[in-house]
This record gives sequence, C-alpha cells and structure tokens, in this order.
Amino acid sequence: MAKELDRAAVAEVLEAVLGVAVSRTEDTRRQGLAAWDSVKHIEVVFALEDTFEVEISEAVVATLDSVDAIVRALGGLRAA
Amino acid sequence: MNEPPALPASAAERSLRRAEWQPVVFAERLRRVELARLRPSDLEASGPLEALSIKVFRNHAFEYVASALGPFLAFAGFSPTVTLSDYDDALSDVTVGARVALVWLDFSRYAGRFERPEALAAWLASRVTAMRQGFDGPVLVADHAPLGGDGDAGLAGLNAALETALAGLAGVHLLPVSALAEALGPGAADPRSKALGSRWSDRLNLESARHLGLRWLPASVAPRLKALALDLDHTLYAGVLGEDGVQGVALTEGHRRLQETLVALRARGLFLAVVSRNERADVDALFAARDDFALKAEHISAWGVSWGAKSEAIAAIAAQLRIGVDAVLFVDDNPGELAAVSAALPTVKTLHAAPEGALTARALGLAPGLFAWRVSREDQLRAADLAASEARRALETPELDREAYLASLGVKLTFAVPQGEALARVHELSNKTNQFNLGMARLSAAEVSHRAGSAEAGFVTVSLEDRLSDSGVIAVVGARREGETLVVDEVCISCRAMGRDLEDLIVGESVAHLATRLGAAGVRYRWRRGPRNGPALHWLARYEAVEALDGDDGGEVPSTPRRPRPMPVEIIWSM
Repeated sequence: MAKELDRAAVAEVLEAVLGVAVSRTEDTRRQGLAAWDSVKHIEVVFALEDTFEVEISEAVVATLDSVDAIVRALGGLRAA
Repeated sequence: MNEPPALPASAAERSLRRAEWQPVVFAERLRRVELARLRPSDLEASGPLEALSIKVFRNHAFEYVASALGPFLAFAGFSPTVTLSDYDDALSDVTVGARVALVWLDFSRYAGRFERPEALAAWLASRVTAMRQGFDGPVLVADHAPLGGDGDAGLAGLNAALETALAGLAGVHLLPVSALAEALGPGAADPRSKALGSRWSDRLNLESARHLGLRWLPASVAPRLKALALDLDHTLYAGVLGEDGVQGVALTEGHRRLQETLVALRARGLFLAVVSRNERADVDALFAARDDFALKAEHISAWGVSWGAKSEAIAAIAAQLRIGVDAVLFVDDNPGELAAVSAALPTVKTLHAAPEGALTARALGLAPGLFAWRVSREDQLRAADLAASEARRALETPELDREAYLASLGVKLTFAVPQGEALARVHELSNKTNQFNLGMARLSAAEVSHRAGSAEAGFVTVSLEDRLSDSGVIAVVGARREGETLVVDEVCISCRAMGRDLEDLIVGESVAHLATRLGAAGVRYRWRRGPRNGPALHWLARYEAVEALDGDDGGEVPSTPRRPRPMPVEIIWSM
C-alpha cells in the first residue's frame, strides 16, 4: 500500500537513500547537499516511485530539487 | 589450531540480526528504501566482514546495482569495494586489479555492429582472454537481457553463442540475468533510459544485486556449504509433533514446496540432517506414516534428535558427515535456537525459518553458500557414498586384518591425467578439501587450467570405487618441475576416501607418474599448515619418516619417487 504523502515521509525516503539526516520541519534542497548527487538523485526517484506508488516522468525527474518540490510533484501525480 | 578466537555472544547477536534482515533480503518484491536502511556494520558483531574487491567493466549504469549490493553481500559475509570502468563498448582497458572481474554490458548497444551473434560472442571471449593476462581470479559475465524494442534486433541466439564462446575459458561464468528479466516481464525495462543511463528498471537492478550478492559472487570466492541441519516443528511442517501427533502436524502448500526444495538441494549434493527436540521414536513414526511428505527418511543423512543442546547435535552431525561445522547451515523457526547455536558454534551459518514454508523455500533458493555453478558427478554420489561408508564400517571387524578388509571391499583406484571438463573437479578439490590438503594451494580455475596445459607441471586425479559405492574423483595430486626436482605442492584427498589406508598408494602412484612424465629425478613435498589439515601433515611425517614438520607456516620435505608397497587394490590408469 502506498505510504501517506507528507514532508516527513519524503524526508524518511531521502534519509535512507542518501544516508544523511534530513529535516522533517524545514525544506531541504538538493543544491548544497553533497550526498544528493546525480546518481543518488535517480535512486531517490526509484525509491519515491516504489514507496508512494507513482510513476515519475523524465521531465519531472529534473524538477525534484528539494523536499518541498518532491511533495508538490508527488501530490500532483497522485491527484492526476 | 589456527582457528580465529570465537566471540560467542557477538556471533549470537549477528545471527539474530541476520534473522531480522531476512524479510528484506528475501522479500518477494525488493524495496530500495528498505534495503538502504540495512546497515552492513550491524552484521560485524562477531568480527569484520571479509573484504571483496570487484572490478566492473561496463557500457551502461552499474551504480544502481552497486548501491544495493552492500546489504546482500554483508548478509553473505562480505564487504565489497566496487571499482567501475569508464562507459566503454570496446572494453579497451581490461586491467582488473581486483579479486573478481564483472563484465556488465548492455548488448543492445552492439546491435547491427556484428554480422552474427556468434561474432559478437567471439569478440567478447577474446576480450575476456585478454583480461586473463595477469589475472587468474573469477570472471563473471552478465548475459543479454532482452528488454524488447528495437535494441534487441539481431541479437536472438546471443546467449547460446556466449555460452559456447565462454565455455572453454577457465574460471569464467555466464550470469543468467536474462532469466531475472524474463521473470519480471515488462517490469524489467525502464523507458527513461536517457535520464537513467540504463534501459534497466530498478526492479531488475535490485534483483541483479540480490543474485550477485547472495549467489553469484559468494559462489565465486567461497566454498559451498555441505549440509543443511533442519529443525522439524514449525519449520518443515506446521505444528508440534509432540503435541499434535503424527497425523496432527500439517503439511501446508508452502511446507510442501519447502520439502521439495530440500529434496532438490540434496540431489545437488547437499547433505540433509535433522536437528530436533523430540523423541526419536515419534520422529521415526512421523516419517514412516506421512506419505504426503516429499521429504522422506531416506533423504536424511544424519539425525540429531534429542532433548540436549542443538549445538551438540550439530557438532555430532558434522563429525558423522566428516565435514566442518562451518559447512553447515542450521535452519530453525526459533531465533533463540539460532542464537544459542551461534554462541556455541560461531562458524555455523544460520537461517530463520518463516511460519510460511514457502518463504523458507524462497530463502533457501537464495541463501549464500548453497548455489553452485555446476553439479558434479561427485555431488550426486555424495549421499549414497556416505550411506555406503556405514556399511563399510560394519565390514571392518577386529578379526579381519586391514589387507583382508580391503580385499573384501574390492577397491578399485582409477588414475587419470585430467583435461577439459575434468579440471573443474581439480579446482573443486583444491578449494573444498580441508583435512587431507597438504599444500593448501587453493588454486583458482585459471591456475588449474594453466598448469594442466604446461609442459613443466601437471595433475593426476584418482577415482575410487568399491563393491559398496562409486565415490567418483576423490583425490588430486599436483606438481611442477623445478630443475631436476618434482615439487609436489598439491595433494588433496576427499574425506570420503580416508580411513581405508589408501593414502600411500594414491600419492605414491601419482607422484611416480608425474616424476616420469615431467622428467624429474628427485621429489620435494611442499606443505602448509592450515586450520584443519592435521591429517595431511601427520601423513607426510609418517610417509617420509620425519619426526615432526618444522615451521609455523610450512616448508618442504625431500623425497624420492617410489612406487608404493603392493596392496589388494586394483589399479587402473585411464590415459
């Protein structure tokens, strides 16, 4: 079953894949986080798809540059 | 002797952690987030994981496989260091510099560049052969995983061509990634290849990581396990024999599949043993009465049914099977039993049995140490040979002297110079024999192949048969000429052949042949001290009338080529 979508849930996914602490209350941006490199970004996409049961298009992959951006994008995909 | 010091409490902790990991690593559908949450360092409670360096030659992304590999390899006892080549279709630089080489190609990138699949396979075989310059470790080659679409045009038949082209290369294994892709169906491909750098879906990445980490890589660098020690209640069936009775315990569909899996593993050369807290009479009645069980009493090579500690039962079973406890996988539904056995016998491997037998069956299909690249004739003969040894012991009465005993057995030894496929058994004996292993050379498949083809070196293998059983190839003697001297640096005799005083005959006949063939006048036996090779060292000291073998690690003992004293044994040379 798909996990409930909120910032904490997205942060949990990022934390597991990136291996670093991610805030549950404040936005975390890809820029400035060394662990969130281009390879890990794809792994984050895989993990988000698996956890929230969505399919993320190639065009959207590049826009997922922060926790808030991910929450917004996934919310849109789920609503669609 | 040189066993590492045991850390019982830590070994128990590791066993429990492994049980906690099982639902993730053996899951029907793997989840990247769950895998990422597993910390390999959690399995280092009883000592560091064994380092394993892997060089990956690739033309598409391997990073998504590599990032999931750690937990699977940690479960198998390894800590990987993965080095990636550049993206290179030409495989121009094949320098390995690691313990294992892995060739990971998206073959669709070659579509249209070769006239026929056979030409592509031959080219790849030539690059693997080039890799062999200065590298004699295992080479694993992923096969072609057809994902549909234009990319696979012209590649039909490629995997058969790869199998043929790589078959003659020692220590090279073709990985059936295509089977993983086929099982996933349309879910194996990811259409976003431009963003991902690969056509593979993450499900295929994760399945590949699982098979590499639990099966293919461990099978490349570590010996296979030899026995499964199985609990009964709640493991092989649902229920408790002592409470539910012979007809009351339930063979669920999952447990039926588990029992069939065990029978299949036995056919692939693994001993099955029962370790249970029950009354032996009840257990005998259970197996006699339950016709629906796929697992029969005759499939069990050793029984450890008592109310005592299971660790003691496992130690006794290992002794009966003539194997080390480190070659045993203990399967039990009770984590407390797993921990207690690990505390007492830290090198025993453990597997937590799930209440649903089907989950245990899947775990056994993936568990490290059970997979083998090939099933040899000797694997298939093993269980019957052990049963024959019991009958052999019964023949050995005090009234019968040793020669009369051997004569009564009708022992036949067949000596041969191994070539081609027979070299796989030489590699196996070199790497699996622990007790009668004089040189502890642990030769790689490539080294075996190289030495067999050399004019300065060679092997003799020995097969054993008597009126009770055919044991297959039970010994190898390897030597090379150094000047005028034959240096015998590999003498391995399977424990299945020990106890019949055949060692002098096996070694003496083989060495005499090698000395003549390689033109050597003198002989030196090279020995090394290993954790359990006391029987081989004791034999050498007696054979050469040396009081004691000096040296902590190893040394050499001079000798002369000599035929052994006649014995009532039929000797055949198969040339």
